[in-house]
Amino acid sequence: MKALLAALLVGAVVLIVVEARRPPDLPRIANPCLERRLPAGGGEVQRLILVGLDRAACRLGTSRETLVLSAGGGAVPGGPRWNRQTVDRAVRAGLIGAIDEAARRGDIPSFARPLLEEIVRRVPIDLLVRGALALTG
Amino acid sequence: MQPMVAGERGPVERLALAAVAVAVAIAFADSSVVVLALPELYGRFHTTIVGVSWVVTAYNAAVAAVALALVLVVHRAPARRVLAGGIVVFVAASVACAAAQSLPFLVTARTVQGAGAALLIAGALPLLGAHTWTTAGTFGAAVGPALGGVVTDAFDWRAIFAIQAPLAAAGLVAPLLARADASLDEGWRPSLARTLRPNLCLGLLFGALVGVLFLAVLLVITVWGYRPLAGAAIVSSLPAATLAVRPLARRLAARDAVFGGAALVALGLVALALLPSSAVAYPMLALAFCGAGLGLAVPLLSNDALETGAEATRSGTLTTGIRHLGLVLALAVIAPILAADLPPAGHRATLRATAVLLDAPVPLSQKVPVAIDVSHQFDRAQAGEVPDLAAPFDAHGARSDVQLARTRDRLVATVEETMTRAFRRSFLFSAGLAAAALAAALTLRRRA
Repeated sequence: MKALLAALLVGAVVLIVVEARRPPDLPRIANPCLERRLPAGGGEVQRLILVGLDRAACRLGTSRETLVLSAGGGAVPGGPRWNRQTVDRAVRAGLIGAIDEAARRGDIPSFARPLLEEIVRRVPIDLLVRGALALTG
Repeated sequence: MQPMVAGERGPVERLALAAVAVAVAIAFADSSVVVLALPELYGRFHTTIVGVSWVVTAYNAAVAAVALALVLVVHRAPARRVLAGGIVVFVAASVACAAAQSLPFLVTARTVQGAGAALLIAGALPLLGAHTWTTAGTFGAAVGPALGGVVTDAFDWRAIFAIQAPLAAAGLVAPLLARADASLDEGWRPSLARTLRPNLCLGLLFGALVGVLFLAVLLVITVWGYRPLAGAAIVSSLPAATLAVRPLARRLAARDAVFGGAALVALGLVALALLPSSAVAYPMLALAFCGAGLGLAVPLLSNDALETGAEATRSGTLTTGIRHLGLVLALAVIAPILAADLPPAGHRATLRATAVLLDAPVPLSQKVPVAIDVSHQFDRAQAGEVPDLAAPFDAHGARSDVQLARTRDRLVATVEETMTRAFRRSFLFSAGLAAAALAAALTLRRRA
């Protein structure tokens, strides 16, 4: 009886150790200055926004997730806090860089590039988001 | 009061004793009976989980303080009156708890209820005898969270107190039936030092049980989001294992059972600390380990901690006080550890959830409204409520959209896993207390 119990205990310990050593399947908060794989099937507008966010976060020296939470007014405990103008400037610059990159790749027509860049420079950010939603909706 | 030995009992006396045993089990179960109802309680009183945790702490602190104070005087009081007084106070306070309209009132009523429980437990020992008293206490402690969860889900949190009031009141029949207290005054015999080591072991083991009775239940309810009934089903593996090992406990040598029991509790808590995912099988297995450990170690340690004859009531009161003191001290250490670990984990969970949403292969027209609603759920979590992270996805079509459903599942799993890891240090501290109980059990072995 004692041997059976001891064997059960050893088995349980082994199971726990094996499970505990398995690396967790958690999303990484990646360096925004490095290229990353973008989600498939989200459309060109979403692709522009994601690349633009990465570029903006890279400029501010933070992650795109922290930038999104800051821009959305979410609490980022212990994280950097920027004023609205700083975030706006970084996001616009990031989006313009993303448009340039997409135009170079031929993903958007070259004649549309100046128009899109002008829109990004002048239109308030919340209107830009609504416009993007309308385009993809 | 004279213990009613088996040969002398009629059916009425047996029923009366069973009612007292139920009252003792309820008094021990009350240490953790409201844990599964905590989300309902802070919803009702618009407070935080820290504020509402006083509903648990106040009861245990009162039992510890009153029981330890009673050690000095309980041998001079008629046990029949101590039991009757304890039941009356406990029942009145239970009714007050059920009727509470504010958190301060509920915490005050719980404090009074704890004082009544200490008297009830102390007065019941001479009547029930050590074996029944210990069995009722051990099973009551183990079944507490599951019982509270079932009642909360079937009715609401008030029902926990409303149901236990008449059940405990039935125990009043026994002191009324008991014969005159001819041998009540136990006299002053300062010989309780003999029980110090088993009591130390019990105090450490009950401190470790904070990980089982409180942390595991909080994890299941507030992080994994199970309803009280489902949470009760998960934590029911604890009392089930406690009952299942009873035949084994009789076959093992006493010190082997204590040593093995403390080791099982420590192992179960380490398993809880290293939970690989929120799949219910793992916590159920870990809780079963803890329950088996409890069933092996506590009855035998209790027997060792209880004096027979003239010192019975005092030794029972002392061991009750030390168990609850262990529980309260462990709560006092573990609560700040958890309070320090949860906010940074919440921040990590928010960042990872944002990453999941940004990388999700769904159109912006779905992503943005879902993200806004998810952020509202995170705001709820910061206010101390239990967020429902799946709801925003379901509201925007996840039930019929495979990609959105996958994103929902990924986000929920990410947040759950991140928050589960925040409990790791607290579980490991609890496991450390069980390991200390193991070391104390070794000194019992050497004493033999």
